[in-house]
Amino acid sequence: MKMKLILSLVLISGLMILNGCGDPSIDPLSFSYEPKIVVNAIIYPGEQINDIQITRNIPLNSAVDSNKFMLTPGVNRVVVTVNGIPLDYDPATKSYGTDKIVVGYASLYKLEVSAEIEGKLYSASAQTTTPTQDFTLVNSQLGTLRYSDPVTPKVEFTTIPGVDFYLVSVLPEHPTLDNFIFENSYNPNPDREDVAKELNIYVFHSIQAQNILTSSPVNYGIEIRKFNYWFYDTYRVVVYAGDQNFRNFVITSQNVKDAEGNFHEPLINIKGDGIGVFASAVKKVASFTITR
Amino acid sequence: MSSLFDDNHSENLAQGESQWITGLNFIYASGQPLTTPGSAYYLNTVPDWKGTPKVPDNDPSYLLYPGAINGTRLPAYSRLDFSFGYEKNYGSWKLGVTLQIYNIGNRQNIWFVNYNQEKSGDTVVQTVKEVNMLPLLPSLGVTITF
Repeated sequence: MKMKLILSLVLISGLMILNGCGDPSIDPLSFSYEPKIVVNAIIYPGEQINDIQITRNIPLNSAVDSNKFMLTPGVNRVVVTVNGIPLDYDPATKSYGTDKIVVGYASLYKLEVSAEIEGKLYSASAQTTTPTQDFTLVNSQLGTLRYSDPVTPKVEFTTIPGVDFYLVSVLPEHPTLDNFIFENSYNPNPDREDVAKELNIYVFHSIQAQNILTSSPVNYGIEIRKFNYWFYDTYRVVVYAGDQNFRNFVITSQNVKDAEGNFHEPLINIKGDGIGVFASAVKKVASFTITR
Repeated sequence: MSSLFDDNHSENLAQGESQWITGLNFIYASGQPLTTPGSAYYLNTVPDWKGTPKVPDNDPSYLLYPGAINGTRLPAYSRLDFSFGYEKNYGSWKLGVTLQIYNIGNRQNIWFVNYNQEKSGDTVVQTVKEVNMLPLLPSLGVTITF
């Protein structure tokens, strides 16, 4: 009996010591890092190829210095081509482009990139097929409305056969705390400091229209609701009719975490050592103004 | 197979006696594999947002890219439960009273994790917020057996 008691006490003590060995935690600095070429390239039919940015991914907890993650021909021996034609680097805009290509409709374009990162050569390639034709906005001036009006702006356009994804960007021209709509319908009279800290949430809005597949151009309208505009301001509205690469990136680039904390890649069309997007789209610009 | 079911080691120990009843339950399981973010990159998900000034917090162009698949493993799960009770026999029926303490060590076992970014100076600091399972949890039970 005594031996049994002693054994029990030893067992209990051992288990309590084992169980009490520190609380578990995860160190984000231990996460694995692998350099990648980040491609940010959207081409538009009817325009020259320009404003293509080639950067790199950065380890977590890195200083955000754009000079360090921009990949340039001088430092990183970057070579970028589209359909075999080299793109020129513009140090002023830190982007690549060429006036030798005017992008056409229903055409295939292949992008190839190579760059040296930390002494090692990386390469990536991707291709996109541009939309089959242009589209038109029914009205590019969406009007001037009072915020209290029950009517909200609506952008209408003709669809493009073969294009099933449309993205509408709604961006205020001069968003500040002074023209923020504090007496809004969704979060009335928020704290000014909270708005200042989370200004991006109120500034950047977009609306997606998916699976709009038509065999011939038809009129399609998207209503811009009040939760898409938070400032007394004039808004720049850009309607994009994008290809599959454009659709996949817009839909999945921010949805990369599962409920239990596992991460996965967004849908990326870039092969090799690259991430990001190489896509094509037709775009049209409209505007509207919201007043008190 | 989902990583949720990948427990390489799982041990369960229990001990009990009658009349005065003491119980001890110890569970150990190795942590599940996890695919964590491995890096970050800047890219505007909407082309027209390029060049528009953004405040540092909640920058919509700051995107996370995963590291190696199942490249991290959650810390091991372990838990020690203790119970103590008395059972009295009334002939055709028995009455028992038990005090149970779940997770007696109040160990902060990780259930799942969330990620946040905070701007500190010119650095975006990646933080991991661990969501824990149940803490120390006492309960009192009465059992009637007939």
